[in-house]
Amino acid sequence: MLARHYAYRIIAILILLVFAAFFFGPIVWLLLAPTKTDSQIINQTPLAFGSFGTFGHTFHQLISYEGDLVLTWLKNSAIYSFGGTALAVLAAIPAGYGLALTHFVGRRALLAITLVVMIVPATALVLPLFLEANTVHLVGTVWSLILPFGFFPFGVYLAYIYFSTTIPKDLIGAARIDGAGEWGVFRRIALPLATPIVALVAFFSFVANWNNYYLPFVMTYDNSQYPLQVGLPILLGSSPSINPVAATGGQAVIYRPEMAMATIIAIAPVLIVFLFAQRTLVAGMLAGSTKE
Amino acid sequence: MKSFFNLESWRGRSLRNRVALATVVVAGLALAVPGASTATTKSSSKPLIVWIDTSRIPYEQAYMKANPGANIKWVIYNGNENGTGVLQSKFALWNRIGWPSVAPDVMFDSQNYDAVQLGTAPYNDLLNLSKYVPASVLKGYAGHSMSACTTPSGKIVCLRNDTAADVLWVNQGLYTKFFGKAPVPTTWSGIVADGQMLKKSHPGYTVGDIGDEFDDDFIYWGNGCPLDKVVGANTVEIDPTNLACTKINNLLDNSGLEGNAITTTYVFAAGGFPAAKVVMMVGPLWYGTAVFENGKKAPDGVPNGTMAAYPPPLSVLGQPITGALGGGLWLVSSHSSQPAAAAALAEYMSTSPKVQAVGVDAGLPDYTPDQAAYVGAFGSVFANPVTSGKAWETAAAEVWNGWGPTPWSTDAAWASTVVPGVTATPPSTLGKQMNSFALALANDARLAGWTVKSTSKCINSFGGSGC
Amino acid sequence: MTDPLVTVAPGERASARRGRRSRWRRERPPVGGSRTAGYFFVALYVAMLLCLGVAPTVYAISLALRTSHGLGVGNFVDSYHLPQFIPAFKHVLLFEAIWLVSQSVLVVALALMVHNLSRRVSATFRFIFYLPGAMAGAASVVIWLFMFTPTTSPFAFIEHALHYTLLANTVTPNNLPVLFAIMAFWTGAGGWIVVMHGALNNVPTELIEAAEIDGSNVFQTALRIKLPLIRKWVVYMLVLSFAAGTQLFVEPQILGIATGGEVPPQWSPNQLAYYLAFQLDRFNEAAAISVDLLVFGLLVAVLIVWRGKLFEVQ
Repeated sequence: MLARHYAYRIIAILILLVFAAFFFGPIVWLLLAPTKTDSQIINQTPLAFGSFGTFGHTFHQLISYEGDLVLTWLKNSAIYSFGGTALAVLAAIPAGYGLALTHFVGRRALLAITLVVMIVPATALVLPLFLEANTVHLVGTVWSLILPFGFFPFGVYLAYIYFSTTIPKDLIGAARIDGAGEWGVFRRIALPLATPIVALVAFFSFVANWNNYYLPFVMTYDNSQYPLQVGLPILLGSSPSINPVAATGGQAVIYRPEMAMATIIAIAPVLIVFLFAQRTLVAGMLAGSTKE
Repeated sequence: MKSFFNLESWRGRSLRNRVALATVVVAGLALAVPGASTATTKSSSKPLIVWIDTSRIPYEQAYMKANPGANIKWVIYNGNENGTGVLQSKFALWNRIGWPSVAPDVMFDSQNYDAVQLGTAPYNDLLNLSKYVPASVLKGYAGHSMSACTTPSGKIVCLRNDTAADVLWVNQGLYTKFFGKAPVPTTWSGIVADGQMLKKSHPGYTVGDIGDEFDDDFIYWGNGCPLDKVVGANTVEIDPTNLACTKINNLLDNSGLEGNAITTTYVFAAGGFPAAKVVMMVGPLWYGTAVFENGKKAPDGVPNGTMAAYPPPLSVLGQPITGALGGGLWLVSSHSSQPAAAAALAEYMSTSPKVQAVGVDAGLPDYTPDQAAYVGAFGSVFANPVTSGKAWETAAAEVWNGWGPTPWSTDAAWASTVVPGVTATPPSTLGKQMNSFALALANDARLAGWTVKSTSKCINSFGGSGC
Repeated sequence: MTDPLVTVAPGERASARRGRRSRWRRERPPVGGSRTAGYFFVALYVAMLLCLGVAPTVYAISLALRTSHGLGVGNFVDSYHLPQFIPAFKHVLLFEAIWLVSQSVLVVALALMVHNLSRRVSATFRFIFYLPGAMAGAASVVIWLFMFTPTTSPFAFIEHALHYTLLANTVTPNNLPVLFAIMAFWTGAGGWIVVMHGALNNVPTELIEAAEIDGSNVFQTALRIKLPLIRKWVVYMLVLSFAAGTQLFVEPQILGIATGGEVPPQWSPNQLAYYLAFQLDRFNEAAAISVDLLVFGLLVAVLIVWRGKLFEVQ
């Protein structure tokens, strides 16, 4: 019996290691790629380490692309994403609280509409959003992206689940009986307990904003306003390693190592947020399950 | 019961929350600046806005050197590359809301087939240049190349920048070594014959390739096979059963060279077929600098003075025509507030020797008066520079005008139907993939709302049921 | 608190039929409190919902219904008859089938395996699994572009075994649903494994111990005890993943750019809608396809939730 348990455990660990290689391998490759030159990437074993010198050269090549356009893209991504996230949290947390813990006519309808809107394809809304933004003269400004990014129904739904399952209802009831106004109840009971859900909503909103392709492509006027997500395919198209016609004109600086480095820059912020927010994220994600 | 109204701690916490929120909001409001960050020239009159891609930066520099202080705002974009449709999407949106002041007056477009689409319904966004550019200039472009700029109703909606006509590239040293003083082939059968000799005696070398994403431009366009032939307004002929198509397919498929002396590996970027082992290859003019160039630019290049350009082979039906791959366009917006100035700028970029002579990598000018100077600038880059230059000029005039312009990319259809087949193990043949290629083209045409004319049962059936 | 409208019954049918409603009654707000304060809490969100959610959706639907002869279904009919329409839906359905089936099985299996390990080891594995989740969108496509190219990929041994030597071999049209499933699994599985792990944490240990005393082995415990208790999360995963999958766009679009069109620009329905709108300036048909996707996603979501509840064990 014990031996069989032991055997199962070994097999499980082996399987898990295989999958760990699957999930982690590409990331290792990505991190090592900028340390090699384009031909080294092709000719050497995939997970070989190049040199720090090459890494520096790759970085320089990438940043010199059209006058540190990549850094501009990074800045844009940060502005759009953080701005959108701030707005999303500002709206979603109170809304989730209101849906979960207060009464008002239309509460259930609001919830239903929220669920439906989550399924509407983003493509369908791009033109209407563009026309709306144009009506208020916001096209080409950061607001044309921050405002739509701030609309985060999934965040509202998460907050709703969180508040309705983690805040003891008796507590709220008692506070109300004690005479605290609704705002007081929210401020003194819900908000202090809301750190995990704020972190969770902020995280999901940030990742969604950072990875959004469609809307920024439509709402911006030129290269210098793109976020990184839209810029990456542009880089791809101007790389002779991928698109041979880009070799004409002699301006090509983007080869495979530079592409890999651009990708690293594109994911670094989200990755950092992932790492730091790990614990709070997991706590928040599980909050809904503990009350089942 | 624990008191949850411990004012000190809750007030402190919520105050911190409030301050944090307020900071974010204030920071957000401070960000309310319009997004465009490219510097504008300081002038009271509105600058001309020109969109170019990175490869045209030397053009911008040449222009500003020749016209210092010109009131122009140069904006870099991706050149509408590879079907990204940047111009199409921007025009579609602007047509609905009105063209903003940041819209470009002049644009460089790297896709040859865009102009007629953007200059006709539903877009209709390009200026009719026949009113602004003298007829003598319009006649100065190589061969029939301006057909890509002429709408069915006769409007001229673009000016050609460079021509990317296909020539026969030959590695002079290798050729002399293997074939001695024999003249370079002038037909596709000649190329195949040379390839068969190489396969027997000197394996490992190639005389061509069919595995790249755009070989249809050499193989079908260059042989007059009607797969993209505009025969009327919004009407295209797609006829894979045409004699030209079947003849070239049979020649290549029966040569015994596919996968061997006709490689199915791409020749381009590092990792493909080594450029140094190419004895000859039909390819566009700019292969010279992009594929075969000196080792310090491309990882697998060949030294200067190795490659020579020869006139492209006659088509399988004996016609002196050739295909092309690339070459850009200069477009002028019909919504420009300064149409005359914009048209003049486009004409200058397209025809001025100062601009067109820039750099060996940019490609042969399509405007013939500029070609000689450009060719002369090559010096030692190519073997036989004089004959190479002549070959280029000949090829530029021979580009067949029976291929496009249609608002879809034939290369994309080729890449999704033929390339997977011929690069597979075991490889398929061109003949076997022909119907699916033609069908993909027909589907693209029908998606765009065009009528397809064909004698092929396969193309005329719905959903390819007759294939 | 008995409610006359819902028979508080042990029968699962009752709770199934009133699935949604009984759940809402369970999560009813606490008593007391002002009836109007709620409006202030949701005000900002509702304003955005109306402007950025409802209004654009209504406009999109009206775009879809607007034909040259007034309101009608002309755009739906026309888009249906495009040669790329049915293939696009077939592609996405195949992709969803491959992805969802393999993801459900693998996520549950991996979560179960990880759950049995010691805390540190388990946490390390979970971390490695959800790291790729940070790389959704264009970044993951660029990474996998290199993974699918035999000359650069650490997985080249798999590709060589399949006789693939070029990117063009890996990305051949028949492989596409599998490739996109691999990419979607790579970015999405980790998060769900963490969620399942958390759900497994809530399985009462007494139940597991009782089962083990009764003689059931690891597999039986998993199948009979653990699985039914995390079922609801599997259903959530299926619904959310399916909805996201119908909107497949960035992956085929970028692979298409990178392969010169080997992945056609109208491979997925969302791509077809985009192409119609932004390449051909035919927004009405594009809107029709988007409405098709919306209805499709809604139907399947309702279906999964419905069937998911029908076999709910008390």
